[in-house]
Amino acid sequence: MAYSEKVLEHYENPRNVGSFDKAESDVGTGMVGAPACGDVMRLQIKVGKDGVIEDARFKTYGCGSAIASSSLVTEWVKGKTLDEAMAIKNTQIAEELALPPVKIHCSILAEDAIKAAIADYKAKGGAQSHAEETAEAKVCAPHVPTA
Amino acid sequence: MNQNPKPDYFTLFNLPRRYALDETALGESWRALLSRVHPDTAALADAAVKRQSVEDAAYLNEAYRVLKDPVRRGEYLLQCYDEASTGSHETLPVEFLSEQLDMREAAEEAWQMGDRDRLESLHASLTAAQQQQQKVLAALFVDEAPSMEMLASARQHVLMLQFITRFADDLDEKLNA
Repeated sequence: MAYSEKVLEHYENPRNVGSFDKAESDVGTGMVGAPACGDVMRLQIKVGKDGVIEDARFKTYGCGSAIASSSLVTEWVKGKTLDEAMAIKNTQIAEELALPPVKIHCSILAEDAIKAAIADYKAKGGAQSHAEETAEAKVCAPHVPTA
Repeated sequence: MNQNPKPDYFTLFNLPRRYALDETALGESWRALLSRVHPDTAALADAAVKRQSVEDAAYLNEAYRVLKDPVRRGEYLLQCYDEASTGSHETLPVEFLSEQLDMREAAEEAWQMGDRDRLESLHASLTAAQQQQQKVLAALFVDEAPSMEMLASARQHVLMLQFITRFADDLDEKLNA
């Protein structure tokens, strides 16, 4: 199965490879994996005080499509609000990279990774400037990620 | 065509339905059954009997391969209890994934530096991790049907075993290249 031009381009020149310190309060880390193919993906976002994603990093071990999907997502999320980033769909990633049906799961993995990173950031209390925070603090319910 | 439902793989080989496997018993049972259905022994029979024996042999061999493979045996047990693992879209514990990513990073580094000793020691820790997962699965799948909680846990461990095995196979390939 030949890779598309765009997959090859991201595979050969991946954007934003690396990591942020996951202990920092303005960093959200998403870790996801696909047992069947052994892929593992870490996607991190750095969020500004205004709730806008300033920067993103990733590290992926897997096939070309998994690397290209995560590389693309780190580019897309920059400058987006958390809600906008949450709305990224795997179908958009698959379409942009022209992924064949057998590689769709790579784009699903990338979507899961960004959602997990946002959930991690929120769970850390990174979204403190948001109004919901006071309401949440009063309710002693277990934290359920909305992802 | 054989319309009878086929026996499950454990019943087929007369083995207890648990994860821990007596490989010798499996091998002996497989050979004994195969000698009865092997297509060669049906060489002189009519076409329908021949076709049936080819089918039976294929079923036996598939059953043997599944039970012999630690990952597939785990998946099969999940299936037996109606908990089919849903493939690639599954969540794994974050700590586990972080550890796997660190090891992948270390392996990549060792590979680039041609550090064979480091690669072999990574391979050894993966083998140990595989054995650990298998031990956990052996405790979860015993003779009686597992509880829902045990099944959920087993599913996670089968996935982790699959993950580790995939990585170990990659390293194997590198080491033997």
